[in-house]
Amino acid sequence: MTPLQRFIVIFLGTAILTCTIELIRRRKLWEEYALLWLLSGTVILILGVFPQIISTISAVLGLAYLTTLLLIAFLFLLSIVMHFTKVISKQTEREVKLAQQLAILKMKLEKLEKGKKQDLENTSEYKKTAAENHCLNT
Amino acid sequence: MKKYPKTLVIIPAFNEAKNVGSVIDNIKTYASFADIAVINDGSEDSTAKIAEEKGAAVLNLPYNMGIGGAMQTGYIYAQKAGYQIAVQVDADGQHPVKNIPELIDTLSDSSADMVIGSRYLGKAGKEPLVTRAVGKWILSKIISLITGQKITDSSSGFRAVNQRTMQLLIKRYPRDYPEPESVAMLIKEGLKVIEIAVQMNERCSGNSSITIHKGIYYVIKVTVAILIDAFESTLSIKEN
Repeated sequence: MTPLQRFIVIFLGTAILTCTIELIRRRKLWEEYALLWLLSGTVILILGVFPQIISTISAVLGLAYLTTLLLIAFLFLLSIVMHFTKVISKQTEREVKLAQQLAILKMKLEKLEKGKKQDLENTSEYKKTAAENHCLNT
Repeated sequence: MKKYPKTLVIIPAFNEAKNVGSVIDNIKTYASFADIAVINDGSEDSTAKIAEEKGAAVLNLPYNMGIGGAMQTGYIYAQKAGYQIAVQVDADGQHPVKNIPELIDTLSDSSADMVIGSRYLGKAGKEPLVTRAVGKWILSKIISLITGQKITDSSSGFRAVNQRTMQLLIKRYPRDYPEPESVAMLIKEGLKVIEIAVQMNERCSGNSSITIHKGIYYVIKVTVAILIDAFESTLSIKEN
C-alpha cells in the first residue's frame, strides 16, 4: 500500500466515524442504528493503520488486494442492509398495532360523542317543554 | 328463539360500497342474534357510510392494511368487547350468511376452536378452473403435510372462531393472504379446526381479488409462509 492509499483509507475511516458521531450528537441518528456505522468506520481505520491485515487476508484467500477490500466493504453493506430490514419489519409491526388501536379508539370516541350529543338534545328538549308549561301555567 | 352465545360478525371491507349493504341486511335476516362490525380497510368509496347507515359498528383503519390487518383489528375489538364467538364474512357477498348459525352450532357442538365453511367438502374435483384446482391441491397437501390434517378449503374466509382462537390470532395473524396460514398455525398450536360444507354465492359485483398470476403468487407466498411457520417455535397461549 502506497502512503497515499493509506492516507485515503485512514481519511475514509475517520470521515465515517466523525459523520456518525456528529449525527448522533445532533440527535439525527439513534445510537441503536449507528452501531454498525461506528463499527464500519473503526474497521476501515484499523485497516488503514495496519495495511498488512488486508495483505494477509488476500494471501490466505488467494485474492487481489482490491478484491479483498471490496469484499470487506460488501460484507459491511450487507450487514447494514440486513439490519435495516430488521428495523423496518419491527416498525411495520408497531405501526400495524398503532393503527388497529387507533381505529378502535376512534370508534369508541365517536360513540361517546354521539351519546353526549343526544343527552344534550334531550336536556334542552326537556327545558323547552318545561318553559312552555311554565308559560301555560301563568 | 334459540339462545346463541354473544357473537360478532366481522366484515373486513375495502371499497365494497356496492355489496356491503346487502351483506349486512342478509346477516340481520339470517343471524339476527349477532352484532356486526365492519372493518373499513381504508376504502375510498362510501363503504363506511353505507355500513353505518345499516347499523353496523364501523371501525375505520387509517390506511389500507390488507385483509390480515383488518381481520385482526376485528378480533381485537371482539375480544375487548367480550364476544364469545367471532365470525368472518367477506364484504363481497360470496359467503352464504344463512349458514352462520350452522357454523356457530358446529363450533359449540363439536367443541372446535375454528369452523370453516368449505366450498369443496364432499364435492371432490368439482372445481371448474384448472389453475384453481392445482392451487387448491397444493395448499391442501402442504397443510396436511405440516399438520397431519386434511383441510379441503383452507383459503375460505367464511369461518367462526371462539375466544381461545381469537386470543392466538390477535397475537399473530399474517398480513396478506392470511387464511391458509392461520389454519396451519392453529392446528399446529393444538387447536381443533373442522369444516362444514357450504355453497358459496356468485359475486354480486366486482371481481375476485385473485386473478391467475396473482393466484400463482398466492400459492407460492402461502406455501413459503406455512413452511417457515413449521420451523417456528409454537406460541403458547398462556405466555404473553
